[in-house]
Amino acid sequence: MSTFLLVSNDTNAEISATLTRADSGLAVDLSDIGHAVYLRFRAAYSTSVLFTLTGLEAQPDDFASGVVAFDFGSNLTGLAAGDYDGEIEVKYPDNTRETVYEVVKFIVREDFG
Amino acid sequence: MASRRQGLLKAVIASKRVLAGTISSKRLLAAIQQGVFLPSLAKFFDEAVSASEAINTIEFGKKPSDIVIAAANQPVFDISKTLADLGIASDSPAFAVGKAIADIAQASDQAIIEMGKILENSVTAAEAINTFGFGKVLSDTVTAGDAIDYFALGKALTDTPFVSESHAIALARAISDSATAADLPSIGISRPVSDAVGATDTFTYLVTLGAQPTDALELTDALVIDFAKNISESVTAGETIQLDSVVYLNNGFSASDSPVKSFGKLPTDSVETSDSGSLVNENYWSQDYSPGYVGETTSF
Repeated sequence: MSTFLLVSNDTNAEISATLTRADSGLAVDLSDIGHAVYLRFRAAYSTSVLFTLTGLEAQPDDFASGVVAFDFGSNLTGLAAGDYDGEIEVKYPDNTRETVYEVVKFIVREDFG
Repeated sequence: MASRRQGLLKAVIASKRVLAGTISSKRLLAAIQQGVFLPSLAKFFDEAVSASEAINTIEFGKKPSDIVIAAANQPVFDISKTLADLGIASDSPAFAVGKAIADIAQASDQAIIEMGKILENSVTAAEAINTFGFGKVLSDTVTAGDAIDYFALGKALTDTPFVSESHAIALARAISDSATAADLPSIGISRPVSDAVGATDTFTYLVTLGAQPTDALELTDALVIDFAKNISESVTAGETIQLDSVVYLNNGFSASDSPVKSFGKLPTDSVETSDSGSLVNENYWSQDYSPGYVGETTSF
């Protein structure tokens, strides 16, 4: 998975994830009520989760297409420069959970001011 | 017969290959893209939208769970579009719908040593249930325990005493003065000399303080520490010396010595006397010489 670059103190940083099945390649339908997609964000080589983002539907029918957007909002404010990891987890209506194995890599640099 | 055996073997090998192709993983994959995806207007809307309950059935004893997924609001200027507000809301309390979440239980003990005082643990648990839930069991367990099972006078409940004592003055403390006293009595007579405080005598200082003794009779005094000394002067002349910063010397023929505790001076009186007269040496008597005897006369 590619490494995504972020700048500290940014308030308009977003990423979009398309969830599919490994065997069929089909998108995971997230439109049913009860679905939730989370992005947990933590520093690399750390076990403490800094914050958790809830997936949003940027466009209509994105959820049905397995597309979910994550808005960092103000969570990058004051974030130290360095390597970070992200984990995407889907919670289904029956409260079961499934996590994407691949860790999303982030590199944060400090802004100039 | 040999060809038949070869055909059977090939068929078995072909079937194994089919089995290997059916294994596959259904794990979740995520393809990530970075950019701006959310509509800018949508970000101004508060995502705390109303949650609708999707409860198909209500069974006795079943906990209704509100799970609503909140989605971004579409622009409001599109009046023809039906807003599908799906808000994500989850109720923390599992035991009721509309139940007040905050159950505050407080227990406080205030221990006071006082006759008849009863320790009270005030514990309050408040529930506000607007709806009636079948099969709902209110279980608010509030425990309040007193640290004291019985009341005892003088009992310290939670005492973490810290006592520190520091003696400013230790009573009955033996004060030991490491003082040395050295007396050098010139004449050791009966009385033991003991100085409570260490003192060193510098006998020579007192002698030279103040006036210079001038004795007409050439008297030289030297005082000693002698309390029992009886000073008997054969010649009525002496000095009175006191232990003082100033030495008073009174010279007089009629003065008498008064012994005091003085350092270093030993009174010793020495007197010199002289006689005068004339010595006549008579040799022979002569009739015609007056006074008769002839001789020599010497004066001394």
